[in-house]
Amino acid sequence: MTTCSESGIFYDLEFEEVIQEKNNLNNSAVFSTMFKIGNYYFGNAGANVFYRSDSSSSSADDWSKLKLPDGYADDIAVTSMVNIGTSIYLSVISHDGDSVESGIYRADASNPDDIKSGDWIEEVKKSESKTGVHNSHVYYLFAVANELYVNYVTYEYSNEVDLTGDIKTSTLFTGSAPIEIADDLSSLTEITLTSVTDSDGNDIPAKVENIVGSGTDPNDNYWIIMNGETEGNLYFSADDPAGFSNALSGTPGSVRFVDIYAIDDALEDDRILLSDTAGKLHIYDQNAGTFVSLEQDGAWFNGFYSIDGLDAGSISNQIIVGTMGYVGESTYDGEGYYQLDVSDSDYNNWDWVSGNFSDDNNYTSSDLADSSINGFYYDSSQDRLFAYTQNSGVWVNEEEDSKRIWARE
Amino acid sequence: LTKNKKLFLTALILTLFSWTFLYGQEEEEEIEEEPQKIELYGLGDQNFSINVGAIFPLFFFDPTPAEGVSSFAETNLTVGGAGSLLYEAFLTSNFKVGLELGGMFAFSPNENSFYMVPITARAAYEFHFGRFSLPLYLGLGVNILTYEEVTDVQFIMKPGISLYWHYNSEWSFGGNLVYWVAPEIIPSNNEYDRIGNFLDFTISARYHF
Repeated sequence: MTTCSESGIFYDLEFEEVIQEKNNLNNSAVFSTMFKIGNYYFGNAGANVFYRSDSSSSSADDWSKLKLPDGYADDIAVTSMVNIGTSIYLSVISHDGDSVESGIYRADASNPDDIKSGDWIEEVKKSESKTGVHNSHVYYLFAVANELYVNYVTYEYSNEVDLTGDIKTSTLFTGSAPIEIADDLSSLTEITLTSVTDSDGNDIPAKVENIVGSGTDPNDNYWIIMNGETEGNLYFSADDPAGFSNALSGTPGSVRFVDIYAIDDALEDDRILLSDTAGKLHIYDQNAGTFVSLEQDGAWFNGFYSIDGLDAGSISNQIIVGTMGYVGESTYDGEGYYQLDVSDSDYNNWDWVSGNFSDDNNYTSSDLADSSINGFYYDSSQDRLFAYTQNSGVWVNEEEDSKRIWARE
Repeated sequence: LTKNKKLFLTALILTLFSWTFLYGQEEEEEIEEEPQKIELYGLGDQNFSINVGAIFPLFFFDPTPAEGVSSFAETNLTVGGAGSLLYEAFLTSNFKVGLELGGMFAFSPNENSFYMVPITARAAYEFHFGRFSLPLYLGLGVNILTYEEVTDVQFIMKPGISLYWHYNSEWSFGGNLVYWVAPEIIPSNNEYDRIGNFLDFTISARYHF
């Protein structure tokens, strides 16, 4: 007998539970980010920011659209969204009309029902005519603890209908909240990073892929990943949110980086998870200065979140690790998620958990198991885990009748 | 002997001969008219069947249940479709062997498709009653199970019974009732072992050649 199933097809069928449609969110909604402020969850998808209360009653937890800043020629797209405290920072762009318009906005989101378009504080706004060769100004926001990072990227377009563009400049800034951002970003601290290298060996500007920190204390450690055409760079700063310099030596070569995650203080300090385009997950220990790697069948690893305390505390020292389809593929089919056991003090012994917390109900039979994961959000106060995907919407995992059940948002 | 006595003896002998001849003729005619037992099938006869119908998922059996937990559980599958192609060859007038390629599908609670494709060798004993035949059989072979992106290859056992009406010497039509005993053994963890139990009912067209 041969089998490709870990638990068995009949076993999976026996325990399969119906996937419920819990809320009103469209099943094609593609969240890029998700977080919680007060009693509300927020997620941004394309031209919209959605929010809902953390109530478990179905009548009160429908998703609503947040009113976004006005003053643009037409609909804006949200390029990134972060929160620091009760503030939401949005970076937006609009390619409609005669010009490319972009900006950074901030609003207090304690009561999202009350937010009106005019309540958004305009931190930065740029506009450039789309005539002939022109530029757009795109702001990518990252938040680590109390630090706001702004990656300011200018793209050059060859004509009015060119929507892809080439990166012309890329600069990274940071500042501690609360912060007022000058239009030219001069109120922030500029971070000097060496450029990435293209296939011809030339230095080229690149977009920042992700920034993470190891804790909530500004004096913790910080890491940044950037990608060149064929190879990624990993930068490290010890105890200084702006102290990045040269790329870390010894990082995996000949690969680009997909995602990065700093292990929370409560688990282990000074360790990161770094995924690459070869399908490997690298564990890096800052003190030892060495990498070890893990693999799984399937796609790249993308999206990490600590699920300490999940299932009424039955899960500890585990990180949920999402997957995503290869970018070069025509579809975005991923392999769902895995769980990484990080309980051993020796990170060389970290390994995948056999089975996951919802194998015995409906994970295997759900589209989530074949999805590309954009990210997770775990609300420990409600013991509620969200998974937002590239190709099958947003999912929520809660306990029902003593089982952990996945449902669609 | 007098002339009259000679004539009498001659007549008697001729009469006896003629009776014996006639009696002998009557006995030969009776032997020819005795009904002969003609076997319907024999070595070298073959048939090919096409079967289509429904399959009823019955239950999963857990051979190693946890304490206090029943060994029997619902399959959570819908009633599905089943079909097969069957080739058989007679070794004697009643005993035949064959090869069957089957297939079934059903749906899970989340409307995902579940498939099984059994490939079995079959031995059958077939009773004949006038224009009807009733084969009893047992199939053994491999079973390819597919659900979502997972595929397992396991063993399968399929005992069954059929009833056919012979339309002519080439075609017969009928129905099949087959029980599927489909174990799924997970060597890495016996906790996940299950024996799937299914019952299919199919209608059948059978060609004899």
